[in-house]
Amino acid sequence: MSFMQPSPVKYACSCGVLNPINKLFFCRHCPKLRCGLCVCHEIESHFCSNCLENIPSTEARHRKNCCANCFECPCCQHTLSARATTVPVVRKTEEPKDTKEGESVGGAAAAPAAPASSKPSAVPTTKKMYYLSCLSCRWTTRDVGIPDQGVATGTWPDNECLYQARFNTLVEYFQAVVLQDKQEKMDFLRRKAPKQPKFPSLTDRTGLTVSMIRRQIGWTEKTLPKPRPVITPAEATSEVEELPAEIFTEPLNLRNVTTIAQRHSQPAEQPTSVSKLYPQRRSLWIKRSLRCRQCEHNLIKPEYHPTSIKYRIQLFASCHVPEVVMVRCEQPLVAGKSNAILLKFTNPTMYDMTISLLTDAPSEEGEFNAENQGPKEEQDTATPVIKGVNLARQNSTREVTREVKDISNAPIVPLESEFVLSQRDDSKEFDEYVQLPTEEPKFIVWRKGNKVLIRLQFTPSEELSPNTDVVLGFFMQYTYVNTVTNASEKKEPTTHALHSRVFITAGTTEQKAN
Amino acid sequence: MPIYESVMQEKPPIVLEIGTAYTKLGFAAEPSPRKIVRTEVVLTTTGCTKRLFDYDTTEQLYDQIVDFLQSLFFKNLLVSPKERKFVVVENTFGPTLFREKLARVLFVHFDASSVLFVPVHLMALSTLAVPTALVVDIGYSETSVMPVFSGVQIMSAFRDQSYGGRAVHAEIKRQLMETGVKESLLSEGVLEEIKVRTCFVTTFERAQEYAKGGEDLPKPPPAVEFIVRSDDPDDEEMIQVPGRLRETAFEVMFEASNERDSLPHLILRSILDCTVDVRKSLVESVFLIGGGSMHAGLLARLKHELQHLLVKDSFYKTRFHGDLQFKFFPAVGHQNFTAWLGGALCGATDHVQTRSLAKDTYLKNEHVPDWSNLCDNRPTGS
Amino acid sequence: MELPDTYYSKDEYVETASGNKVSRHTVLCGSQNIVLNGKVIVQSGAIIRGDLANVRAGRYCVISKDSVIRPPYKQFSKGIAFFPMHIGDHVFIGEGAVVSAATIGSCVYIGKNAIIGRRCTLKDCCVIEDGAVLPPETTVSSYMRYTKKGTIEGGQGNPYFVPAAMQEEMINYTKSFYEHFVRTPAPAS
Repeated sequence: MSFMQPSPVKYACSCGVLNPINKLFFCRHCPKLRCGLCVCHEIESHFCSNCLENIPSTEARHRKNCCANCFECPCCQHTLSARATTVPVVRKTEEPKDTKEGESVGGAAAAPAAPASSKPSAVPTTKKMYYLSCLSCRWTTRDVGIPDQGVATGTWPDNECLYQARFNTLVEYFQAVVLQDKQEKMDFLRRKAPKQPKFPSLTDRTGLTVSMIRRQIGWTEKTLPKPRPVITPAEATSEVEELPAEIFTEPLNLRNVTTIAQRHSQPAEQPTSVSKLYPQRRSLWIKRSLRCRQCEHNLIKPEYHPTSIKYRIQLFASCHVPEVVMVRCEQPLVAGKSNAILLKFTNPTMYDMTISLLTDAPSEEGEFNAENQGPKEEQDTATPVIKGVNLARQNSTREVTREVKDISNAPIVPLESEFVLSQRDDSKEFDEYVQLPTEEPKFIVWRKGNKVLIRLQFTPSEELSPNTDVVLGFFMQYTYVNTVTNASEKKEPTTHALHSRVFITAGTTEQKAN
Repeated sequence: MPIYESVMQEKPPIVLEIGTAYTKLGFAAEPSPRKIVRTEVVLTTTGCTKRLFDYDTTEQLYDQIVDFLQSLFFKNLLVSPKERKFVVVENTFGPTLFREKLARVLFVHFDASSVLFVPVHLMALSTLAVPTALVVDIGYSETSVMPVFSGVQIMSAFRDQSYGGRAVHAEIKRQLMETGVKESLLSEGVLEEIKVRTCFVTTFERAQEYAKGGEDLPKPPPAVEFIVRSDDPDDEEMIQVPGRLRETAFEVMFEASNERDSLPHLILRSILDCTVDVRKSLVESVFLIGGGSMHAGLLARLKHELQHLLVKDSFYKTRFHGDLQFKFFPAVGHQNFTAWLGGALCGATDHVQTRSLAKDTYLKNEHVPDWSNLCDNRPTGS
Repeated sequence: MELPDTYYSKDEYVETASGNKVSRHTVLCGSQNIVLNGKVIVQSGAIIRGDLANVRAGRYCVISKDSVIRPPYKQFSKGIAFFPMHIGDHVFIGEGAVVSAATIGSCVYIGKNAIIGRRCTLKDCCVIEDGAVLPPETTVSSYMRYTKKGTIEGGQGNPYFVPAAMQEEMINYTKSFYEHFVRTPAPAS
């Protein structure tokens, strides 16, 4: 399985990182390969992964990214389920004594909840009460003494921050202090700056200033300095908490001491005793959309709805770039011994492709220059000031592309000619396939619809010691018909000659036969 | 609608404190971090988990920071880092390389609009609203002491030592292996659980008796049976945590040696490095922060040790005068996120607008101003 | 990596008109309650408890060796009741997995020796790792990966945990699994 086991075939992304094709995307506008590292991740929508409800982003922010209805077990972080019990309601204010347990929320067999007041007290009336229970570790809200709730979604207590009031005063205090600092600084600068009086001032010439006059006639100063914000500072004490004496004698019951994970799941309280664990609201999840940093087009844009698996925009590399699948090697891999590998090429596009496998980068032409020379150019970050100018508008592209690390250690014998991969045709799948007697190059083993199996000769390098991975690398040049173009006036599809670098881990070398 | 929203409602800055063991993250003006997560990355290339600060090349570090922050933003905080303001609580003496890389990741990879770097010790102090204190940060990789007077850090009196959580873990591991526990069981996570759940800092008197050795050792507290679970559910093992280990695990911080570099010495030395005028006020305002300061009995022991040294140790006796009584500040919230809390306070003020390193400034010369760099600290200002 | 051919003997497997290939060495209890919608492979040693409640599996499902498909139950005050189980199209259930889910969407991959507790809901395009244990009533939403450690990772648009093109990948995978699951060629005589 390609995503359960690491794939032996890796493509070099345009940023220089090697990835299997299922982790790559193809930007049709650039047109280049992109991977998770070199695209811009964005949040598309928030949802709860348990109740699968879509939550608008403003509401999500308001709720601190937590679901309103779902809770997590404070013990094992699994989702809590609401459980219903029927509690006999007695008219007098008496504690409900016995409860019938073990019934779940949707229990249709349960007696309908009846308002306690409407029935005569002689008939024992029952009321449905709910508590939360973890089905993974059997923790319940009753363990910590949270009373059962009348509704399933419940008004479960949100633990309040103990020092919220103090924190608020601190925030206000510091905001005031910083603001006042800013004010004073501005006043200072204004005083320092030479004034440009618009009108000749009489008082200036006489050496009298407004404030002096005010003082002389006994008025108060015009601008009283604002009082400094005040706060009661914390006080240090010499009283410290001593160790309780029983810690040296009483055995420690680890069951009552919370684990680190349990403490950190309640960052504000960090309880040390399990009796202080409270159900925590479940954190939301997001759907991401991915955007090309170069041209700012979306590569991936999922549907909003949490249960939908569709995309509105999906530019998977596997839908645009010919897929190379390793079938097998013909012989056991021995260092220095010529071998052949069978590779299956699949054309996922609606247009025929011409493919050639090369050992060196194809001669650069036009816009594809950037791909190979890009790394060298951008690594030169010693003169970033000049670059900053033209990149100022779209500075998200400043991420340095890296040189593709050449990890191949088995030179290949290039194919003598290029070959054509016919277009994908889903309807052909159901047709009986007839082999057409066409003249094929020698290296083609078979051809079926949009798939071609080829035989590629290679020789693992002489120096390879036994049990090392044999990696072959080549440049795959292919024609790609682009139906979207950057120039809007050109409507007909344009054909590009693209290439990507492919590395195949063929296997490990065996002991050299002596 | 989104434009309207962003104009109407300024998004709160993201506050990050990336520690060696745990990262605290949340939003400014909130009283507690949203999450406290291990500073570990799940590498997107291989899928394995490793510590953020384990790296071979700087490029690797860069990739790890990218992966780490990515999971923070999109899994824990659920906000887009693009055009966001950040407050990063950092160690004053942290490696410049990490700082530079972090800034680069935030600005270049994530398009942050501004980053405000704030020092740990000052930020922790701001939660108290006092201007003067001796801030002791007991972290995972090190313990550092920074005196702050009237809101100014006395850099020359900064002291640090490499005993923190890691040293305690090593001590627990050593002691357990002496009792014959397999090393393979004692992963870092297990050691941490043992430390936090069973160990405590013993009293001064008992520690003295242990240190003396001999026959009549105090009766150790009861041993604890600790179940070690590995990833494989069938592979469970019960290990005995001896009582002696429970109370002596933290002795690495108090061990008397010729170096005289235990925690009490560190604090006293740091105070002595300050001028005479501030010493008394520092003695009367010690503030312990960091996850390592949350263990039961630590404060009592430290106070006892300090008072003892003041009276008994000839070196300090000649240098400290008068009737000195060590006083400690109680933390707001829990000590392991005190510094983060300070960052959240700072992020709520106008400082994020005026003091931050803006993206444009950074991109102009790709340099993060640093107090230790002369280029940024010329008196004329450049 | 291209899937290698898996061979089965003609005697062991029954092939139905709709293309289901079911091993004779399976325990299909209450077979009248089991609906396989075509091109489903049920390998030897698998147990499907149709006697408890209906089990429906969509097209191109693979139920591997020694896996157990058991409809979920729910407890009431008067006893327990079993509920039917629905499995979507292109679902792969790994070897030795025990599945007691309420519904499994389409294009779901369940790893080897995974245990899916009762009344779980697996939405379309999710992945359950090898050896993962899902507690009862867990919901795994689309494009999520439930790890062996018990955490949930991924999400739609996250390229790292579940492939973005999960739907196409699972369709290709289950189809090619079916195509490569072939009868042992008769010995040349």
